[in-house]
Amino acid sequence: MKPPLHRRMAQRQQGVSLIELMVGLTVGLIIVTAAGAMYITNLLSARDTGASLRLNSEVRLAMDVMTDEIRRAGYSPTTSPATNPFMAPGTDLRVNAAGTCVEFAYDANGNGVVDDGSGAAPSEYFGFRITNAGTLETRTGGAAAINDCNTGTWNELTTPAFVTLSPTGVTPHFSIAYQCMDTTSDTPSTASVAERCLTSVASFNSLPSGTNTNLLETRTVTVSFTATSPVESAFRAVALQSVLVRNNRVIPVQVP
Amino acid sequence: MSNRSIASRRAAQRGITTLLLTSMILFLAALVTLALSRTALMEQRMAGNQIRHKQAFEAAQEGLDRSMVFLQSAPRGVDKDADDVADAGPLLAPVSGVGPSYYVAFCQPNSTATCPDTPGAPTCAAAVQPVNFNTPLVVACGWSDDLIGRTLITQRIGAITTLSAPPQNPLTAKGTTSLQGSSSVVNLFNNLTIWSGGSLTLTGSAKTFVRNPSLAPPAAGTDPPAAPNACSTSTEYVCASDDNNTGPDVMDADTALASLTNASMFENFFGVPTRAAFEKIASQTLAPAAFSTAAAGLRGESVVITGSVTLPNATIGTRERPVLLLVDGDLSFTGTPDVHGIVYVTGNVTGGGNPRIQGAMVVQGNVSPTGSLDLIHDPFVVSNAATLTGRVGWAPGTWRDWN
Repeated sequence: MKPPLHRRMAQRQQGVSLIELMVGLTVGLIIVTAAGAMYITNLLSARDTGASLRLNSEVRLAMDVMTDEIRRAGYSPTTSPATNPFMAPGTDLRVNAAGTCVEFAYDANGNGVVDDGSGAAPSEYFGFRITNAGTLETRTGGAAAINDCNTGTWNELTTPAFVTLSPTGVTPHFSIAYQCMDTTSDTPSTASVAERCLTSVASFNSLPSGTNTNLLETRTVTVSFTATSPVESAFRAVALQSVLVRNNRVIPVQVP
Repeated sequence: MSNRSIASRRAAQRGITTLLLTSMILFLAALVTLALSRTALMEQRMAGNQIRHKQAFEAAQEGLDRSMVFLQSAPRGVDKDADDVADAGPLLAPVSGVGPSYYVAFCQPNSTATCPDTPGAPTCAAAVQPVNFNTPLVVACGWSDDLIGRTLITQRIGAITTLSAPPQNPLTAKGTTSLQGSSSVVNLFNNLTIWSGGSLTLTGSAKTFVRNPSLAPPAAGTDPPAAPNACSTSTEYVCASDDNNTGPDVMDADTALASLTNASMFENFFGVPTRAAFEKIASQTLAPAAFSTAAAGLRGESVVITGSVTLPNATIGTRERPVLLLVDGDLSFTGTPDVHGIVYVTGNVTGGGNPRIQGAMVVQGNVSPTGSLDLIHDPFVVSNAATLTGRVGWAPGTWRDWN
């Protein structure tokens, strides 16, 4: 005997028991939640890894560009060091008092003239500065002077979207160590003195009166900065590199 | 039976929803990981390039430093075999996977050079001339250990100027001058041959020559032609003074010269006050015996000879690579020494022998050789001796690592 229609309907819609439903839902939920949690973790760790990779890459790029350029400071095809226009006052390597900026010049096109960008040749005044906003900027032109790190045209090399330099504002970022040595006089001092070659320093004052000599000044520029990622400010890279400027400065002096 | 199958189908359908959802989430996670790995790979490549760049740079810099040692090792300069062609520079050939390599070449100053694609000697735009064998442009090319990174560094060599007042005439003597035999003092370039503080005596067939006025002044760098054997006139020269005629080309008994102290004469000439100071500029300081041994091979050297010496029978220096000899004592000759350069004597010039000195000679004492002394003024030699024979070093401000 066939059961009545409503019985058959009720039997078809009988479904699962409440216990079955609860167990199924719980198991499904646990699996989906676990997968979701894994996804979130994965996403976060990818973001962090990506941010730290990006930070490393930005810091390395900034440091490489700076050291490679600073190393060239003072190059000139001129044979006589006394007439090298790229190490004269106004073009000589200089770090500002706050240590946030370095400026220098070298003869990029080798024509023996300090091009200031007003002619066809690009400017040969170069510089790097780290701004309060945490960007690295490079000097690309402007007035023919090295004096205050504000003259000239400055362009950003880094962007806060990827990296912030010097988040704590600790300076200096640039410093110079000088060594001064007497090269040719009758009684040259064998040791070099850690000072700038000026007409008031020990290496000059120790020369006998009437000496006609050349003082040799070597410069080592140290670049250091911290950088943080805008993604996660706890990510911090510290960069420190010293670069010996290959073109030493020669200062002819005559002791009165 | 049928109830169970319906129920199990419903359960299976709920499982598919979970499966699809989970798969999608895992797929997204995989995408994220994939994107990250691409970034990481790129980062690794950039770091690799940086290391290659540094390796190549340091290798090239090592090449430069080695070149300075090469240049200063005896015999000095970049033409060790004296064939008037610059030698190949120092090199470190690549050994697969072991380390960086470099090659060095010497080029004419103010010229340019390029590195080859695979490790090998740099190519000069202009070959270095003999006159610059002591002061070439050094070109170093460095490669990273995998030969992918390459760097070019060039730097110039400079020599200390050895003379503050290069002589303008063939023979200068603070004391007396007495020439005999078939001595000749020749100046094609101006009208002063002998400048003597004391008296001047020309005996035998000693004579002086200056340029024949009918000849146009010679161009700079001209190699002066040979003078006649006797006191006569040739196309290039006229005989100005001999044993019975003193011409306007000699300046004798010059009290201004005679009254100079030895020290002030030395300083006027060299620009430094003492021999000890000059030794710091000169490329070599030799005892007389050591000098006699080394003399024949000297090219482009400035030498302090610490005592009286007899110039050996040898060819010393060339026009392009002359010598500057400071003899702290007396000078004599044996055989027929052929000198290109400047000879400065703090004592007297005595003795026999038939030397030929092209350049100039300056004497603090008396000149009275018993042989035949041929002195030919040559500004090219004098200038080379003054500017190219001093101690060498890197010219400041000439280092560059770009082309």
